[in-house]
Amino acid sequence: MNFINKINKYLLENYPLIWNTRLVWMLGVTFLVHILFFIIGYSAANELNDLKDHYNLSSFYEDNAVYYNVLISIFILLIWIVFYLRNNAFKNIYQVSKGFLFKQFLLILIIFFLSISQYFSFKQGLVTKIKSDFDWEQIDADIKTFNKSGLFLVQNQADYQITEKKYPEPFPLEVAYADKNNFEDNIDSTRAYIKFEGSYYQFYKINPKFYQDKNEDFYVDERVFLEDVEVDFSIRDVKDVSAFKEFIKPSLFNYSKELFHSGQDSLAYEDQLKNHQKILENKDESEIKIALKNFLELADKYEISHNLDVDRWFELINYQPNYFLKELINTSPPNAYRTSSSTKSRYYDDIPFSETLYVELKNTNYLFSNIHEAYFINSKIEVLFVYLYCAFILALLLFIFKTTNLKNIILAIVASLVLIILIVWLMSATKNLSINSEYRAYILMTFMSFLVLLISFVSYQLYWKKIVISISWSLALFASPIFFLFSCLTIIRYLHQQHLDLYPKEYDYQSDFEIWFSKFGFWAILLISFLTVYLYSVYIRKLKARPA
Amino acid sequence: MIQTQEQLIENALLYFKRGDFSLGYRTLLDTALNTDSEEIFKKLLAFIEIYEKESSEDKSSLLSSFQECATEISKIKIEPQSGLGETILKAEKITKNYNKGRFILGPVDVDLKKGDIFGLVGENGNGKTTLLTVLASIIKETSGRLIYSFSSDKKDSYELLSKLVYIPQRTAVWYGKVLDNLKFALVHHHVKGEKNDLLVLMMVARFGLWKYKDLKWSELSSGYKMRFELARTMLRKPEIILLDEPLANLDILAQQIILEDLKMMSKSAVNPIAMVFSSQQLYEVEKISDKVIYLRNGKPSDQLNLEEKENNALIIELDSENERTEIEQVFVNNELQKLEFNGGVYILYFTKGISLNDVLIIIAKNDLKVQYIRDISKSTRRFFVY
Repeated sequence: MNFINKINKYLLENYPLIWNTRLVWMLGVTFLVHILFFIIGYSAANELNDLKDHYNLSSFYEDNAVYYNVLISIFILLIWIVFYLRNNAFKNIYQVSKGFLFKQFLLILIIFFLSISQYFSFKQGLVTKIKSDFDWEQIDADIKTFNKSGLFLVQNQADYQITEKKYPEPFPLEVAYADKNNFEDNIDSTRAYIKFEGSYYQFYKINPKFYQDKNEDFYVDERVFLEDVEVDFSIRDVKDVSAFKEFIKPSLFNYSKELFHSGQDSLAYEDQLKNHQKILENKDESEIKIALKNFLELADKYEISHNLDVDRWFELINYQPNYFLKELINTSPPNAYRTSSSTKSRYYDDIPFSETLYVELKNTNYLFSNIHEAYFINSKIEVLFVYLYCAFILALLLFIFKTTNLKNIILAIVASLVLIILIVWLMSATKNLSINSEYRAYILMTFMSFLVLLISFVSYQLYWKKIVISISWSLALFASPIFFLFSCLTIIRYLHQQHLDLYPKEYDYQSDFEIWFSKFGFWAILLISFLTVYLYSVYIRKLKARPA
Repeated sequence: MIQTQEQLIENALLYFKRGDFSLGYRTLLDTALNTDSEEIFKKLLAFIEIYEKESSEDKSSLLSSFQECATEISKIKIEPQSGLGETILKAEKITKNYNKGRFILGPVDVDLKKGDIFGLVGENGNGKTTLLTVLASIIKETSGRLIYSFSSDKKDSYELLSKLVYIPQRTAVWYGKVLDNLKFALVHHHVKGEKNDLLVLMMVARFGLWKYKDLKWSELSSGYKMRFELARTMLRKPEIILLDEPLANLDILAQQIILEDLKMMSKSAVNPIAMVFSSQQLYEVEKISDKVIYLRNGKPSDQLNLEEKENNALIIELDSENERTEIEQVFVNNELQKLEFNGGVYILYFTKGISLNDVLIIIAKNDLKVQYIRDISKSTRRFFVY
C-alpha cells in the first residue's frame, strides 16, 4: 500500500492527468489480464481435438473465453470509471491547457481499448502454442500426402461424377443431361453429344462472349438453366469427349477435389491432379497400397478414427481398369447409427455404403486451417477495426459525460432516438421517389448527419442556450464520421451509376474513389472522428467560459 | 487597510505574545505563504507539527519557536503588489430579467478593486444570488456591461475565467481525500512536485484543517467543508472571489473565523483579492466590508432613495423588557419621530441632532431595562423593516 500511495502521490503532484485517469494502474491491471488471456489462449489448444473444434482460430468466441472477457472488462471498467469520475479539473475551471481535454480523451481511449481487447492476447497465446506444437513444413508435407491419397477415400459419391472432373483437357466441362422425353429441350442435336445407357449427354464450355450478350441483367447458373424450358444453345461451346464416355459412371478418374486446402496453392493442386491421373493409369497396385498406407499412418497421427487396413481398403477401390465405385466408406462408425450420407448423383444410381468400413475425418480440415492461420494470417485488420471503434464509442460517451453532465447525456440520447425515428419515417415516406432504396438511404443519412452538424455550428454562433449547444455537439461527435461515411457511399454509388449508364454490363466496376475508400476508408473515418473530438475539446472549453 | 509584510509579522508576534494564539498563528502562516519560499514552508511545517500537537490551550511555551519562524520569514523581502486599488471588476448598469420580466435585477453598478470586500445583503428572493452569478459570468446579464481587468495577459476566455472563483451556497461535492483534492487543484495551477506538497500542507494548516487532512471530504463537518473550500480557492490564486452565503449553517465561532479569514485573504500584502459575498449576518458583514450593497426587489439601496428619506438622523435598535408605552413616554419628549416594533425588537427613529450618547443618558436616567442596543443609522439593518 505504501508503494501504491507513493506512486499516487508522485503522479498527483507531477502528472495530474495520468493520476486522474489512473493510467498507470490501468496499464498494470490490463497487462495482467492480457497475460491471463494469453495463458488461457495458450492452454486452449492442449489436444489435437481442441483445434478440430473451431475454425479460423475462433475458439475465443465459441468457447467461454469471450464471456470471461466481457465480465472482466465490465468489472475493471466500472471500478475504473468510479475512480476516474472523482476528479474533474475541467468542470472546476482549473487552469488546463488547450490540448488537455484531447489528451484526456486519448488516454481514456487507450484504457478502453486495452480493457476490451483481450481477444488479441488470447489469440496470440493460441498462435504461440500452435507454433510450438506444429511445424508448418511438416504439416504442409502431411497435407500433400493426404491429398495424394484423397481420391481413394470414397465417401461422397458426388465427388466422383464426371461433372467434377477437372483433368485432363478439355475438362472441366458443363454437362447437359436428357432422356428421351426432353432430348430436344436440352441437347443441341446439331453438335456432338453422347448416348450412354439410354440417356443423352452433351459436354460444353460456356462461351463467355455469347453468354454476356444473352444475360445482361444477372448471372445464371447453367445448371439452373437446364431446368428452364427455353435453353439457348448458342452459349454452348460444345466439346466432343466420347473418349471419356465410360466415366459418366462414378469413377476414381473423375475425382478432382483437394481433401485439405489449407496453405495449398494452384501448383500443388495441379500436381495432385496429374498424380491422381498417373497413379490410376499405371494401375500400379503397390503404388496405390503405399498411398493407402501413408494415409492410414497420417490418420493415426492426426487422431482420425477409422477401421480401415490397407488390404480391405484396397479391395474396396481396386476395380480396374476404370476404377468405378462399387461401395462407399462411411463417414462415421456404421454400427452406432447410420448417419453416413452422400450427395446423390444427378446422373447415376446411388452407390451403397460399406457395412463396416468407416473413416471419421470430422473437422480435421479445421485443424489444418487453424495451424495455417497461426503461421500465416496472424491477425485480421477487420477485427482490429471493430475493437478500435467499440473502444472509441465507449471513450466518447465517457468523455462527453466528463465534459458536460448527466442531463446533457440523457437529453442527447433522447434527441438521438428522435433522430432515428425521424430517419426511419423519412425512409418510408420517400419510398415512392424514383431513386433506388440503397441510394436513397445514403442520401438521407448524409443529409440528416449534415443537419446535426449544421445545428451544432449555428447554435454556437447564434448563442443558443448552452444545453442545446452541448446536446447538438454530443450528437455531432457521432454525426461527423457518419456524414463522412455516407457522403463517401453516396459518391461511390453515384460514380458507379454514372459508369453503368455508359457501360451497362460492367457491374463489377469499381471507381478509383471506391478502391481508395475500401483500402483507407476505415482509417479516414477514424481520422475524421479524432478530428471531430479535437474540435469538440477546443470548443467545449470556450463554451464552458460562456455565461448561460 | 492593506498591511505590509513587516506589519503582519509584528502583528503575529503581538497576537501570540498576548495570548491570541490562533490569530497569531494564522497571521504568521499568512506571512509565510506570502514568501512563496519552499525553505520557509519546510521550517513552518516543522513548527506546525509541534503547534498542532500541543494540546494545551496555553501555547506560550511555543513562543520561542514562533519567534524563530517570524525571524526567518522577515529575512525574505516581499515586493508589494503592484496595481493595488485598480478596478478589476466593473459592472455598469447591469440588469437581469427573470420570468418574462416578473423579476428584474438592477440596474446595478459595481466598481470592485483589488483588496475590496463588498457585502451583499437583502431579504430572501431579492436577487443576491442572481447578482453574484452575473458577476461570476455564470449567467448572462440582460443588459449593461461587465468588464474584468485581470492582471493576466491571457486572452483565452476559459483561462481568464479561471482567475475568478465563485463559491455557491451549496458547495460542490468532492470525492476522495481532502489532501488529494487540494493537490489536484494546485497542480493544475502550475505548482508541481515537492512545492505542491508543501504549499498544500501550509494551506491546510492555515485554514485549520490540519487534524482532518487525512480524512475524506465527506467526513468533514459543514464548517470544515467551507474551510476546505477557502483553502482550495486560495491555492488557485484567484483575483476575484464571489461567495454566496458562506456563513450559512456555520456556528457563531466558525462564522467569525471565516469572516476574519476572508478579510485577511482580501487584504493580503502579496495577493490582494477582490471579494463580494452575500450573507444574512448583517452586522458581521458590515464589520468587515468596505461597502455593503443592499438589494430590495432587485434594486440596490442607492436607487431606492432610502438614505434620503432618513435624512441621516439617528436610528436605534433596542431590545427591552419595558412596555411599548413606557418606551414611548420616555422618548416622546426627546425628538422621537417614530417607533416600530418588529421581530421582537424596537426600532426608534429620531430627529436630526440627537446622538447615541444622548439616548444612553436618557435610558440611564429613566432606568429602562435594556438588554440590547445598537446604532443602526448607517447599517443596512434599518432597511429590514416591515
